[in-house]
Amino acid sequence: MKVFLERNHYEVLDIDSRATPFEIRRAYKRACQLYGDSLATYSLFTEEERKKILGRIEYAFLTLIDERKRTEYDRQTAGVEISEKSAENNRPARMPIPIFAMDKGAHSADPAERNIAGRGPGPVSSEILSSETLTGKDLARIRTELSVSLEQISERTKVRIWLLQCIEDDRVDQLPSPFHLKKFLEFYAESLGLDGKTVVEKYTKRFSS
Amino acid sequence: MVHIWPIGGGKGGSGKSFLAGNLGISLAMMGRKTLIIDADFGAANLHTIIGMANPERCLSDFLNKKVKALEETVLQTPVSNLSMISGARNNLDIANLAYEQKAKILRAISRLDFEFILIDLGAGTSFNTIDFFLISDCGILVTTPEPTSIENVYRLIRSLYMRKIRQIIGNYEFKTLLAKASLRPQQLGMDFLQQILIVLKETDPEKGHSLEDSLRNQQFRIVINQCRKHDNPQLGLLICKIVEKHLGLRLQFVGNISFDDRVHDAICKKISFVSKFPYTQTATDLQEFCGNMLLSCSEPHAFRSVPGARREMTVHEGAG
Repeated sequence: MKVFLERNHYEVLDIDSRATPFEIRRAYKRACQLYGDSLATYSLFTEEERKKILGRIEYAFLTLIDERKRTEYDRQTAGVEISEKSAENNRPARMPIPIFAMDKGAHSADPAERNIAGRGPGPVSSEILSSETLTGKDLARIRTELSVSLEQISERTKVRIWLLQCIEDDRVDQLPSPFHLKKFLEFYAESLGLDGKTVVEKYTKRFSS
Repeated sequence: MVHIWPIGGGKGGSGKSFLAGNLGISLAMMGRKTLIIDADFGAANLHTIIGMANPERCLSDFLNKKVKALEETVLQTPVSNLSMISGARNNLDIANLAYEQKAKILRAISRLDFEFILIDLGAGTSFNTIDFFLISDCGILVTTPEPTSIENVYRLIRSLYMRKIRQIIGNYEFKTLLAKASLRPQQLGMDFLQQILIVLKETDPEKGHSLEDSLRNQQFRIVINQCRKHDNPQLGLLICKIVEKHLGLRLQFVGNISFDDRVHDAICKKISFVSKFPYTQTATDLQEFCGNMLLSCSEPHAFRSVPGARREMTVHEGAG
């Protein structure tokens, strides 16, 4: 047990020693909010102490967020000479990872991704996809078969659920422009593991004729 | 097993008596044999919150030896399964309780035969309040999301921490320990309490570890009362985090209770809130709070409720 200012960078930010840059950033933001000017720390620290704590948090953050400095710091604190390579290997999740997957922990890769990778389009989807045109209902059926929710697609594509719903309900007049329709549809299809261009073609064919 | 839940929280007016009364009623409505004790000696008014205008007996009778046992001061309230020891007619000088009298009450309380004993404590951080609070490991701290209340609850937590250390290692050793700890360079004023433990662990590792363990076992609960819509619902969790980080003390968040103007109405009418307004958000929050408390004390039948309990209560209410 150590007093706050003597703790190591990871303890100060309250993160695991294998935290990803994204987690570090989030922890930093949280710590700043907590010690900055929140009700939860009211009366506990003097203004000077608060500055000291914030300085300590800042220092921890700046060290850990910099790849080179972090490796250096880890090496120093561990007291053992670890080669650059193995230090890298100790932190498997250092690659940039998609923001939406952050809160779910390491094990839960995106469900939409998992479904598609596991099975690919099922029998119903293949039948629908082989037809000449596609309606919104067909898309919804494919989506249900893959058991992917609109929320998940919205999360992946950053298109609002309401707009995705419009596509599935064939309410294309509610979308801002034909260009938007094409783009959103493409995102939608690709997030289900389908070929974007063919889906767009088959969907829009109904309106052009 | 008896569960003793002292309810305290530094600042006056944060709703300690209100929560004690209504938590007691909630437990009684689940069919649990519950006792509420008004230990806010100088300013007792738990009886009014329950809806008992003029209690016949009170805690003073026990101290003045008018009655022999504490059991004889227990009164039946209008709610079935709920009893109370009132402080309505306490002697005027009871606020300055002598140590022996306090010890006498504390001993008597732990011998009472009830499933749940809730102790409503007064504001402030006097030794009386603190010793009653430390009677069990499940003390409930009440605070509102206002700086004044937060400030006082932190003060209370620090006082409790100090008192606990003192109880465990004894008065003399405590003083030498304080002197040693204050010689250390202090970067943050807040760290002083942790420094005491660190110093003790260095000088006497065995005692240090046993103290650390008993501080770990002490698991206070915290409840945020009078939450308005725009208040941060995470506040309770943040407080727990800060206390854990800087004091090494475990604190458990057991719920937010919404603010409701009708609480005022209920108190003015001298009727308990949960029986007068059972279908409000605040009453639901109280239920949840009660459930969380039962769960946190690892009660297997946390949500067991007795059918017809509510009906029974209305009958009593009419009679009273």
